[in-house]
Amino acid sequence: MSTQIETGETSLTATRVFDAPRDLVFAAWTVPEHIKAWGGCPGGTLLEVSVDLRVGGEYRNRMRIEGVGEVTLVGAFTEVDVPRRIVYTMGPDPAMEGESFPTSTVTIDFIAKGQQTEVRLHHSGLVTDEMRGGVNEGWQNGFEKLVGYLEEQQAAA
Amino acid sequence: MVNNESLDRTFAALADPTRRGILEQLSRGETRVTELARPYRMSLPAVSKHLRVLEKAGLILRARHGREHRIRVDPQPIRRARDWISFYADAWQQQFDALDEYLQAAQRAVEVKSSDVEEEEP
Repeated sequence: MSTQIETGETSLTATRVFDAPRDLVFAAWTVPEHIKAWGGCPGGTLLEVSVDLRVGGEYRNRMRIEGVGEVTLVGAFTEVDVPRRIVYTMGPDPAMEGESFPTSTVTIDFIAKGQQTEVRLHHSGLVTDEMRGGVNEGWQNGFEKLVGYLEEQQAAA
Repeated sequence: MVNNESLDRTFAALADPTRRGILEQLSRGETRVTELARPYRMSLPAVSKHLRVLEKAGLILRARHGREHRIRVDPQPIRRARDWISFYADAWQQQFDALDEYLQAAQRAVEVKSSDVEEEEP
């Protein structure tokens, strides 16, 4: 069974059917002991996982990523409907410096299909308007920086 | 992602004030080549030469509408955005693969345990 992925301009949807009952799949996604056994991003090892599974509750995934160092992902649940659906935010730990990626939203539906479970994951807000820069504006900033840099170089010469 | 050679080309392209002016003009939107030439009182071949340098540096894109060439700034932020999305797409793909493996292993473990129990019972 393979994962179907559709990408949009600021979001993506990943769908996959797992050969396991819904309660188990839901637990695998929300219980720290399970998450530690499979989760974490590619090339990463989870060092610390905490999950407070209720609306407003927070989770924290601290991991070590090869060649990158330690990264902590934090977020809060905005919807919890055990074992059908969870919605949570995902962003960098505000206490960590130098982490600059936008806080996005992950919505997961767990759909029971007999002894199988379809997981539909929608990850939105991956790219902010600021990142896209309204094309011209973003370019202009980069452009101004380059021009500034060149002027400095010329002045120094 | 950025190699030094392409960076050199970018800086070389930007070292010229006319080319910087052209980019500034383009940052306001797509422009026809003839319009780009006007403020500099330059011949079209002269402008074309500058445009070729900018094109090679990956700073502009050219679209041909019949005989008319329209130039726009290469939307680098959009390209970066696309890279970012595909980074996450790859990450989820791998996560799902890992989850699938885990779920299979977890269920096998449960089957083993329950069959142990059955054997102990009699």
